[in-house]
Amino acid sequence: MRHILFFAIGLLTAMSFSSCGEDAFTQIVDIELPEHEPRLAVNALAFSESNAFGVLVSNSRSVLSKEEFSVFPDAEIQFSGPNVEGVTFSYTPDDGRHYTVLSPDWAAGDEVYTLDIQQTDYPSIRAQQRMPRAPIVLDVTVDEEGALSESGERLDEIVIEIQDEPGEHYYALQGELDYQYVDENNDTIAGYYSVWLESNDPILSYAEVDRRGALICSDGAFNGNTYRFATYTWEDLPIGLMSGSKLRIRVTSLSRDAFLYYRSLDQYWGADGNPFAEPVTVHSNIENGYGIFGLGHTTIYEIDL
Amino acid sequence: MIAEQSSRYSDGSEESFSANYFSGIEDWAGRIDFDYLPAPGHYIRFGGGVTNHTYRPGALNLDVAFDQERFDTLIGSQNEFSDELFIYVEDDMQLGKLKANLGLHGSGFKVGDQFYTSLQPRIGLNYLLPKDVALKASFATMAQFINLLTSESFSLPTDLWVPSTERIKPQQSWQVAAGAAKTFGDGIEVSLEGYYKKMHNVISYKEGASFLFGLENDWQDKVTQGEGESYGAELFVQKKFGRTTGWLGYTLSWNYRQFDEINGGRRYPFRYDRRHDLSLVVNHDFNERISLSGAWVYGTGNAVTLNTFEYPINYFGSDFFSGFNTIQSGGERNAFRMTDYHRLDLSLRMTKQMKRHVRTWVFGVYNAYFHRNPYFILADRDLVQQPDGSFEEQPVFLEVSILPIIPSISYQFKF
Repeated sequence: MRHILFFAIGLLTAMSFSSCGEDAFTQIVDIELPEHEPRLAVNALAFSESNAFGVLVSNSRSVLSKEEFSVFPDAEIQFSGPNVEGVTFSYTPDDGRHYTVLSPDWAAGDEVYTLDIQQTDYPSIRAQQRMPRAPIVLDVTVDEEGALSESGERLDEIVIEIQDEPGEHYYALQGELDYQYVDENNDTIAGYYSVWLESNDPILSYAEVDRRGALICSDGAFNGNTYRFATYTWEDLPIGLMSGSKLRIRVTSLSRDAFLYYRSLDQYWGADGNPFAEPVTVHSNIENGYGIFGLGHTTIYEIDL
Repeated sequence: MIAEQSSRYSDGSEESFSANYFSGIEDWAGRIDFDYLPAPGHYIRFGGGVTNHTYRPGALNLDVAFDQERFDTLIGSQNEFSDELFIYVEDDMQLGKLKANLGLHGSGFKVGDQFYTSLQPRIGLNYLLPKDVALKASFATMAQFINLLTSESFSLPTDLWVPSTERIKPQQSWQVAAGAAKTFGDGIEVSLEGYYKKMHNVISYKEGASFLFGLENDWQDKVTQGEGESYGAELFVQKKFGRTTGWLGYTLSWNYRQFDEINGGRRYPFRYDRRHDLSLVVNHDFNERISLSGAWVYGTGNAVTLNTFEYPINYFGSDFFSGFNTIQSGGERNAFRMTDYHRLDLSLRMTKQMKRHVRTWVFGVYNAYFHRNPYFILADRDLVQQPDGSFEEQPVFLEVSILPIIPSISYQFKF
C-alpha cells in the first residue's frame, strides 16, 4: 500500500513537471490545409440599363500559395440568350475584363441567359441566370426634412412605391441627381452626383451594387403586394432651388444569385479583419469554378425637384 | 475574460486594458407534482409549474486605465424578462408485456406582449420479448423557450443561451426513436437505438455578425432562425458485475442546419456535427481498498469554416500600379474539420479504515497521454525562411489547445 502511494505521488509529480513547460496551458500546432485545385474564377454581372457587359476571368489559388493570380486575355467567352446571340468579347488590360457591347434593349425579362467560358489550362465553366422582369415602380415622392435618421436628425425623405409581382423577387434601390443652375456670369452649370439612400426599414440592408451604394432586400415581407420603401438621404437635395434638377431613382430587380452575392459580399467586407465575426461565404454560382454570374433588370423613375 | 494587457513605461506612466464578456440567467421558480394510482397497471403523474426568467444575453465590460484616467463601462444588451409556465399529465401503463408511457405537456411563455403556447404529446413504448429482449419506441414533441446560440467564428467559439422574444420564436422539435435492448448472463446490458430529430426555429448568428462587437445594438438583429435535423444510432454496453465493471457508449450521428440567410440557403453541418462519439469507462477493484478507473473519450473534430482558397473579384491595372481585390473562401460553411478530440482520464482510489474515520486518497490524471485537443483555430502570419535565406511572411493556421495533462490529488475523510 505504502509503495503504491509513493509510486502514485512520484508519477504525478513527474507529470506535473512535464506539463509545466514554458506555456503549458496553451499548445499550438500547425494545421495541414487540404490541397486546393485552382479553377477559373469569374465576375460577371450584367444590368439591363447598360449595354457594356464586362467579364473578369481569373483563377483561384490556395491561401498558402505564392503564385500570382492571372487574368486570361485568351479566355473564350460565349454569352447566349435572347438578343445577345453572336456577341463577341474583347479584352481590356485596364481592368482585366472582357467586354462586349449589347443592344440597348437587350434584356428580356423571364428569359434564361447562359455564360460559357473556356480557357486551355482549366476546366470549362458554365452558369445560367434567368433575367428578372423589370420592376414596377408606382411612385416616388420627396418630402423635405420628412424623415428622421437613426440618430434623430431631420433629413429629406424619399419614398419609393413599387408593385411586387407574385413569386420570389429581390430589389436594389439607388439614387442619383442631375442638377443644373445658372451662375452669376449667366453660365449654365450642370452636374451629377450619386444620392446615397439609407433607411430605418429593417428589411433593407446596405450593399454596393454595380459599384454604387444601394439598399437591397427580398420581397419576403410583401410578396405580391405594393410596398413603400421609406428612405432618406444625407445629401441636401436642391428641392425648389434649381429648375431642371432631377432625382433619378433606380430600382433593379436582381436575380437571386446576384442578390445573394451582393449581400454576402457586403457581409464579407464588414467581417474582414474581425476574428470574432461569424464566417461569411461569399455566394458563388459557377459550375466547375468560382465567382458569380448575375443579372439585374432596372426601372428608372425620374422626378423634378 | 477576453483580453487583458498592462504596460508600464520608463517615464513611470502606466496603461491597462481589460475586456470581460459575460451573460447570465436568473430564475425564480415554483412547481407542484402529484402522483395518482387509480388502478393496478396505471401510474398517473401530473402537475405544473411557473418560472420567472431574467436574462442578460451578453454584455461587454471594458476597463481602460491610462495614467490617472480610468474608463470603466458596461456595454450590453438590455435584460430580457419572461414568464414560463407548464402543466403536464402522463400515465405509465402496464398492458401485459407492453409498457407504455403516454403523456401530454402544455407550456406557455410570456415575453413582452407575446404569449407563446404549445401542446406536446409524447408516447413511449416498451415491449418485453422472451430471452430478456426488449423492444423500445418513442415519439415526442418539444417546445423550447431558451435557445442555444453558438458562435461559429473560429477564433473564439462561444455558446450563449438566449430567450425567445417577441421576434425570436420558440424552438419546436419532434423526435422519433426505436431500438432494442438485451441483458446477457448476470448483467451485461446491450442496447441499440436509432433516432431522427427535426427542429424548427433554431437560431444562429447571421453571417458576418459578431457576438463581441456591436452589443450596443439589439442582439436580435444579429441572429436568424432556420431548420435543424439530426439522426443517428446509439450503442450502449454495460457490465455491472465482478471486479471489473464499466460501460461503452458509441454514437454515430449527423447534425445539420439550414438557414435562408446563411451559406446561400444551403444545408450545412452544425458545428457540433460529431460523426463518431465514443466513451469507454472501466473500473477495476484490486481489493476492497484500492481501485483504478479510467475513462477514454473520443469525438470527431468540430466542423468549422476555414478559408482555404482565394480568388479575385476585381482587377485594376495602370502603368504605375496594378492589383486584385480578392476574397477568401472555404467553399461551403463548416466544410473543414478540426482535429479529432480524445483523451484518457485515470484515477487511483485508495481507501483505508482508520481508528475514528475512513480516509481516501484519490490520485487523478486528466488527459493522461497529453493529447493536444484543439479548442479553437488561430489564423496568423509567420515569417518563414526561404531557400535563399530570406524571410517571407506567410499565412499559417494553428490549432490552439488549452488544457494539457493535469494531475490531481485529493484527500477525503469520513467520520
